[in-house]
Amino acid sequence: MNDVICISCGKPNTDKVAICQYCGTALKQSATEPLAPIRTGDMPVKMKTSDLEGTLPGWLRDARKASGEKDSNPAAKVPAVKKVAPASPIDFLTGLSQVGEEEEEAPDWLKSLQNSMPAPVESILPAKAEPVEEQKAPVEEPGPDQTQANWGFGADPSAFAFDEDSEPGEQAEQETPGWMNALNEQKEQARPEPMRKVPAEQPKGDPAIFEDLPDWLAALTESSAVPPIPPARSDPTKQQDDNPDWLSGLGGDFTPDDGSQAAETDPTETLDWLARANQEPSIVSDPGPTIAEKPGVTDNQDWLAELTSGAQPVETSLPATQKADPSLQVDSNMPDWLSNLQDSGQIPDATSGKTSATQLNDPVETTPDWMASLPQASVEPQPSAMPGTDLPSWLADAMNALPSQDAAVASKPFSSGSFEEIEGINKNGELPSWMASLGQPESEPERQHPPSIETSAAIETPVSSAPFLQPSVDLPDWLNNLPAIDNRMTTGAVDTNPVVQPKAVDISASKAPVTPLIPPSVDDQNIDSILSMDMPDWLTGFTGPEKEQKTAQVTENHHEDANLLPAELPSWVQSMRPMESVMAGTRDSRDEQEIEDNGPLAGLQSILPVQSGLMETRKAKTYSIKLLATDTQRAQALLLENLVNSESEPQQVPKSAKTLIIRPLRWLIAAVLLIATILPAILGTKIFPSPVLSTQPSALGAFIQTTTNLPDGSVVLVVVDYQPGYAAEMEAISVPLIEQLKTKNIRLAFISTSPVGPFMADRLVQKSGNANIYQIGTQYINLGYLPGGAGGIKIFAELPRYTVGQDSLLGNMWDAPALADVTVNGVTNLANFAAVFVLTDNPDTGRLWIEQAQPLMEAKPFLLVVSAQAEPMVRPYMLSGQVVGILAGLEGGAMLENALGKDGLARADWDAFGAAMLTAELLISIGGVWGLVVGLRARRINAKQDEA
Amino acid sequence: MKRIFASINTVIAISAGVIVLLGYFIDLPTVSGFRFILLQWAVILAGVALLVGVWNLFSVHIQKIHEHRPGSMGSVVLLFFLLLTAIVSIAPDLQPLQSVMLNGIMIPSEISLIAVLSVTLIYASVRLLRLRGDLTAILFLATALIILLGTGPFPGIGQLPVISDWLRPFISHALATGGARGILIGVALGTLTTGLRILFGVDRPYGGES
Repeated sequence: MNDVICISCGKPNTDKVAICQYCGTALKQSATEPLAPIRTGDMPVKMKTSDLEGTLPGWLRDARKASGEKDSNPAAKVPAVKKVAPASPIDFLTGLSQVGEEEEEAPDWLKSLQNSMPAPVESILPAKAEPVEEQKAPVEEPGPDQTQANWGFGADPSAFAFDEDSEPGEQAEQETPGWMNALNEQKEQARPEPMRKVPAEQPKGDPAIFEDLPDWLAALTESSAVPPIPPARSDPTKQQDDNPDWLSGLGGDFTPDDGSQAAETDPTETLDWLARANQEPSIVSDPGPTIAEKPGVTDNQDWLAELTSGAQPVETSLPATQKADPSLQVDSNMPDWLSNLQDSGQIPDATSGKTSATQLNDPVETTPDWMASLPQASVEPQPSAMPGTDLPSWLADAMNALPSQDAAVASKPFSSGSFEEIEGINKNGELPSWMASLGQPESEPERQHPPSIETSAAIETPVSSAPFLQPSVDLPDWLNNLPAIDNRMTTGAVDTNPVVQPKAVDISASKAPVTPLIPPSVDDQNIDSILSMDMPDWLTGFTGPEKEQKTAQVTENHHEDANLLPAELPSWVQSMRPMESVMAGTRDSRDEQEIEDNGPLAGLQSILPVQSGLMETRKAKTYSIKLLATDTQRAQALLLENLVNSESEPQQVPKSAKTLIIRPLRWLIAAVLLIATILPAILGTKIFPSPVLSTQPSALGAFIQTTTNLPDGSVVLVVVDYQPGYAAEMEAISVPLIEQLKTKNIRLAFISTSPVGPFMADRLVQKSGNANIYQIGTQYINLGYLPGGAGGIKIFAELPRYTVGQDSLLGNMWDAPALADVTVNGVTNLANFAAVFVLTDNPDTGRLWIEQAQPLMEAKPFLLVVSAQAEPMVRPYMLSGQVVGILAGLEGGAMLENALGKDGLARADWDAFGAAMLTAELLISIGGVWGLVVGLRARRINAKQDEA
Repeated sequence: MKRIFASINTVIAISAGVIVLLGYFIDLPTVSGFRFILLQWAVILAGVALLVGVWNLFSVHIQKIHEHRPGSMGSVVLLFFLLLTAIVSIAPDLQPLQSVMLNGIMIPSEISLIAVLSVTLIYASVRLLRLRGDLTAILFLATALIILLGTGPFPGIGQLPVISDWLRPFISHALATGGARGILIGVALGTLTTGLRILFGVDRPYGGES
C-alpha cells in the first residue's frame, strides 16, 4: 500500500482515501491536478502524457476535447508507444508519443518530433547527477569546462540562419527537420565519415547488455576497440531501417556543394563539422588532455569526448542528438531557434571552415538572449564546430575523444541497434573508433570529467543501475539533471537515490547483470530515454495523480540540493512555458482549501471539498454606487420625479374672471327702486289694492282669531326680538296688533332677548298709542333685556319673577299693577299670561321661544309675529300646533288692518311696497332676459373662437 | 395644576349639563332647584359676558387708536357713541335722549342697509343670466320672480289670482317649509350631538384638552 503525501500538510495517507486524514485536503483532484511547483533541484519524473492530462493546462485539454479523440483509454496508447519503433533519445517525448497520435493539443513541433523520433524508452539512466535547475540559464559563467559547452548557437548567426519569419506551416509540412533531411541526404551519399578515435577503454560489460543495442551502438562499442575504421559507405537502406532518421542524418550535414565526393575520399570529413572543429584548434578554449593531443578536436566537442570517458557510448552520442533534437522538433510550433537549427544543419559551408570568426562574432538580432550570450560565455565561437554547437559539451568531448581517423566510422549513421551490432560494425571496421568506444563502459581515466555516475549498489533496477549518462559540469544544467529525471521516470524505485553526485560510472562494479545498458525490452528506446531529459521543465513539472507519491519523494530529495543556484531559463522558454497558468490553477486549488471560519466545521481545513472551477475564489467585483444611466434615462427619471412632486404641490385655483361691475346699472336700479318707493309714500297713493284675508284657514286667520279671542284686561307677554333694521316691516305688522290689544285693554309685558329690544318695545308702544296711550307700570311694563339665550328663555319661562323684572327705579316689576294677574297665589309663571306674542325677524329666536317657553304655556296661545323672510322657517311650528297663529310680513299687517277695518301703517306703506315690488319684478325680468341673450351670444362667440 | 383645573372644568360642565337635562324629564324638586340655580348663573354669566364683550370692544378700538392703525378714525367714532349711549342709558335725566339715538341713528342706518341690500339683490338678479345662463340660474331666478309676483300687488288688480292664491303659497308653504323643516331637523340633531359631546366630555369649549 502506497502512501500518498498530502500536499497541504505533508503527512502520508493511504492511497485509498481521497481526503487527507489529517487536514482534510483533497488528495486527488478530479479536475486539474495541482502541480507541485518546480523548484530548484526538483527532479523531473517520467510520466505519460496521458497521465498528465489532468494537469494539462486548460488550453491543451480544450484542444484535446475539440479534437474529439478519446484519450481516456490507456490501452490505446500503449500500442502507440510501441508503434514508434525508432528509438528516440528524447525521452521527454515519451508521453507525447503515447498520446501524440490522439492528442492534437500537443504543439506541432512536439508532434513532429514524435514522428521523427523513436518511441520513448524506459531508458536506463544513472542516478541523478545534478538537480534540475530550471531557472538556471543554460550558459553560466564560463568555466574551464563550461567553455566547452558552447554549442555554437551564437557563433555564427548566418550559420544557423535563424529565421523567425519563416512560416511555421512550411516547417510543419516537413516530417523531418531540414537538418535531418540534410543528414539523410548525406546518408544517401553513403559517405563514411572518419570518426574520431574513441578511447580504447570501452566498457566491457556483459554482452547481454549490448544485445539489444542498435547496430550503430554496437559498432560504437567495437569501434572503441578498433580505433581506425576505414571509411565506408553505409547502405542508406540499411541505415534507414536500423537507425532513426536523426541519427541517420546526423552524419550527413553536408550539402551537395560541400563536396560530398571529397568527403567520400576524405574520411575525416564524414562529420565535417567535427572535422572542422579539428581543423580550428584556435577555437579550442579548454582542450582536454585527449583533445589537445588530437588537433582538430575542439573543446566544444569535449562533451563528446566525455562520452568516451564515461564509457557511455550511447549517451555520448545522444547529447549531440539531444542537442540536435530541437531541430528535430522543427515544426510549426517549434521555436525559432529550433527551427533555425534546421537550417544550421544545412550549413556545411559555414561549418566547413568558411565561416570566419567575424561572422561568428556577429550576433543575430533574432538570436535569443541566452543564445546571444553564448558566444560571450564561451571562449570563442567555433565556426568549424557549427554542427557541433548543437551538441552539448559532453558530446563534444566525446567527439574530441574520437580519433580523426575514425571519422569515417563516425560518419556512419547512428543506429539504434544494440551494442552487439555496434560491436559487429566495429569488427567489420565500419564503426568509428569513437563509436566503438561508446560500447565500452569504461571511460578514459585521463579525461577531466567529473566522476561518472556510479551506480549505487542499492539500485537494483536495471534502469537505475545503468549509468549511461555521465553528467559533467560541462553539461548544461538541464542536461545534468537528465539522469535523475530519467532515473525517476524509468525506475520508479523509491529507494533509488535520484540525487547522486556525478561519479564515475563503474559498470563493472555494478556488475549489471540485471542492469544492462540498454534494457532488451526497450531496445533502442534508451536513447529516447536519455534524450527525454530534454523534456521541457514545464512538462517535467507535471505530475500525474498516480505519480503523486513519487513526486513527493523526489521533492523531498530535491530539498537537499536547495543550495544550488537557480537556473535562468531563456526568454523563449519562459514565454513558452504555460507554467503560470498551471501554477495559477494550483494556487487556486490551494486557495480553495480554506479553513472554515464559522459553523460546526469551524477550524477544519478543506472539510468541504471544492471542485475546481465550481467555486472560484476571486476578489469580489467592485461596483460603483453611482447610477449608471444614460442621458435619456436621466431625463426620463427627472421628468418622472417632477411629475410626482407636482402631485403634492397645491395647485392654484384659477381665478374666476373678475365680474365687471356696471356701476351705472347699479345706480340706475337704485334710482328706479327709490323713485318707485318714494313716490307712492310721498304721494300717499292707494293704487295698489289692500290685500284681503282669505276665507281659507290660514295662519293669519288663526292669529287674528286668537287675538280677537283674548280676554279683555288680561296680561299678555310680548317678546320684542327684532332688530332696528327690520323696524319698518315689524312695526308695520306689530302696530296693528298692539292697537288691537289696546282696544281690548290688555296689559302688556314686554321682554326681549336683544339688547335693543327694550328700546324697540318702547318705540312700538309709542307708535301704537296715539289713540290709547298706555301708562308704564299700570298698563304695560317693559321687563327689559333677558340674557342667556335659550337658558334665559328657559328660566324665564319657569321662574319669570326670579329672572328679570328687578329695576332700581321701579323695583320688582312683577309686583307692578300691569303684572298683577301674572302672580297667582304667589306663583309667577308663564302660563299666567293670556298669550305670548313673539315679534321677531329672526326665525332662530322664534324657534328658541317656541322650544323653551311654549311647553310651559299650558295651552295658552303662542303667537308669532315675524318678518316675511322668517315665515317659512317658523311655519312648521304652526303646522305642529306649537304656534297658534302667525302674522308675517307687510302683507299680513295689511290684511290684519284690513280685517280690523282700519288703515294703518301697513296700508300706508302698501303702495310703496307694491311699486317697489313691481319695479323689482320688471327689472329682474328684463335684466334676466337681456342677460340670457347676451350671455348666449357671448358663449357662442367664444365657442366659435375655440373651434377656430 | 393645569390638568387639575381642566378636570374640574370638565366635571362642572358635565354635571351642569346632566342636571339641566334631567330637569326636562324628571320633575324632582332637588333637581329643579339645582337646575334653576345653574340657569340663573347662566343668565348672569351671559349678561356679564355681554359687558365683557363691550369692554373687549372698547379696549380693542382703544388699542387701535393708540397704534394709529388704519381705520382708527372709525374707532374713535365707535367709542364716542358707545360712551355716549352708555352715559345716556345710565344717566336718568338723559333717558329721553335714548329714543333720539334709537330713532335718529340706529333704525335709519340699519334700514338703509337693508334698502341697499334690496338694490344689490335686484342688480344681481339682472346680471345673473348674463354671467351664468344655466338651468339652475334660470330656475332660481324664475322662482324669485314668482314669489315677487305672488306677493307684490299690481296696481288696480291687487295680487295675481293664480300666482298669489296657488303658486306662491305652494312654493312658500310647501317647498320652502319642507326645506325649512329639514334645516330645523338638522339644527336639532346638531344641537343634540353637540350637547351629548359636551356631556361626555368629548368637546370641551370651556378649555382643556379634548
